[in-house]
Amino acid sequence: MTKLAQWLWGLALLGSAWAALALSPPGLRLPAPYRQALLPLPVYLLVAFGCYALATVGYRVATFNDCEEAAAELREHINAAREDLRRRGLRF
Amino acid sequence: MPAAARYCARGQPSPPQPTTSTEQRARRSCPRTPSSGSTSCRLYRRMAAALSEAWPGRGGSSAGKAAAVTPADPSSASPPLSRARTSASRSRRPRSSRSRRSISAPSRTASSPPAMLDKMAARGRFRFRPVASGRRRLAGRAGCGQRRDMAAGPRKVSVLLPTYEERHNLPLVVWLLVRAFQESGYNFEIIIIDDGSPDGTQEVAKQLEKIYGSDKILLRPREKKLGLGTAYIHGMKYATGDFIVIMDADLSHHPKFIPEFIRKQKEGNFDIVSGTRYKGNGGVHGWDLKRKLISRGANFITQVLLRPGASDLTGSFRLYRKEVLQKLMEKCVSKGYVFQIEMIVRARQLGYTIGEVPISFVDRVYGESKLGGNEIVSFLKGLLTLFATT
Repeated sequence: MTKLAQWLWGLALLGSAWAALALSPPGLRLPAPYRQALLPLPVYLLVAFGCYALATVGYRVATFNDCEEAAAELREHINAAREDLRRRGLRF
Repeated sequence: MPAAARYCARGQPSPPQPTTSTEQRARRSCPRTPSSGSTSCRLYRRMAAALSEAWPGRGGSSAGKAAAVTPADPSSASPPLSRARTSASRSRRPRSSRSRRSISAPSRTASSPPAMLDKMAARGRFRFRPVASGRRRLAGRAGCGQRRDMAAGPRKVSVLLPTYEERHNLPLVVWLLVRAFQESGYNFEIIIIDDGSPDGTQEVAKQLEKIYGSDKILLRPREKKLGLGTAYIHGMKYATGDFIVIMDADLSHHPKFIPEFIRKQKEGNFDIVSGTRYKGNGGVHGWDLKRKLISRGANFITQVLLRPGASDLTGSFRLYRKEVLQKLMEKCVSKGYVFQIEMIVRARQLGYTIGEVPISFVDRVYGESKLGGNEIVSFLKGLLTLFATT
């Protein structure tokens, strides 16, 4: 099953559960407060996911390692390599 | 014994005698040459030989049997011991046939693992099948080969270096690679796939081949710029190692991490080891805030949509088993950044195991080549295609 198919299945399941409970016919309705909370639930979840995404990306950008010592080490290695290759006869 | 009891109950004196003599049965169940016997018998014999190589002291006691069966037995530390043992058993059973003695002699040894395996190989009877250590993912792979990988490490590592206009960086990368491999002691080869660079990369590559030898540096150029995926396919045709490392030749990937990749691969018997910039103490040098944001944002979207199980998907510093890379190259169709993502996603689909090693990525070209809107759009298109098709 492709990822798209998995997502569609998941959305269909949750969507049908929500529709059954929130938009139910007058016969088997939940009490009013529950329905009032359930109705905007998809939008709430979307907004919550958006906040989670922003927070996660923000945290990861803030803690992105800056490898200063790796750059310095690379410069040293480049100099050593140039010297050694010049000795071995490489013409740059 | 139940069989004997049954015969007695029916009134027969004893179970019927076997039609083949003891010596004939022993010769059949006690193979003499390395290629005789069933598959599992040969497997255990090879394992026993390998283990007695690893533990020469302990394996020496059963060297008497192992020496007869495996021609290359290096545990010559205790031939007197084995001779003494066989002569002792000969004195105990003066008229036993040679085959019978060689079956019974190992039964008197200590039950250390090599001796036990020798006993099993000698008897030719196996009560259980070899248990696959780790996850046996590829159909048709011998368990012996897997175990050998875990114990001994790679026999040879091939490094594929696709280059385009890397005249200044190529000698430095090759020098660092040679040093990394010489320090860690693995057998290696470097395959340089140049796509017809106009700046003289090929001349520099020829000089390097003269310096390091054409068994270590293989030049396999192409006429024009044909893309990364086809460069890998082209290079793999000439690779003779059992592991393949792919990396960038612009010094953003430091070859010092390759021994760590190999160590990680041995640790978990992984099919792929990927270098990650996002986990552990991996990181990047030379990126500004905007670039970091784009990188992390793209990675987050990819994780949410594809849930690939690896932290760095667009990184191209990886170690593959040769057959794994061949299989994946057949299946992958995308280009650019998405190509690297697709390799990981397809590897997950096919059930390969992926290990990760933190690497440091020193970007010295970011100032010249900005990440344009075009690339971002094509990345998103490729990502959505992968989302819909895998």
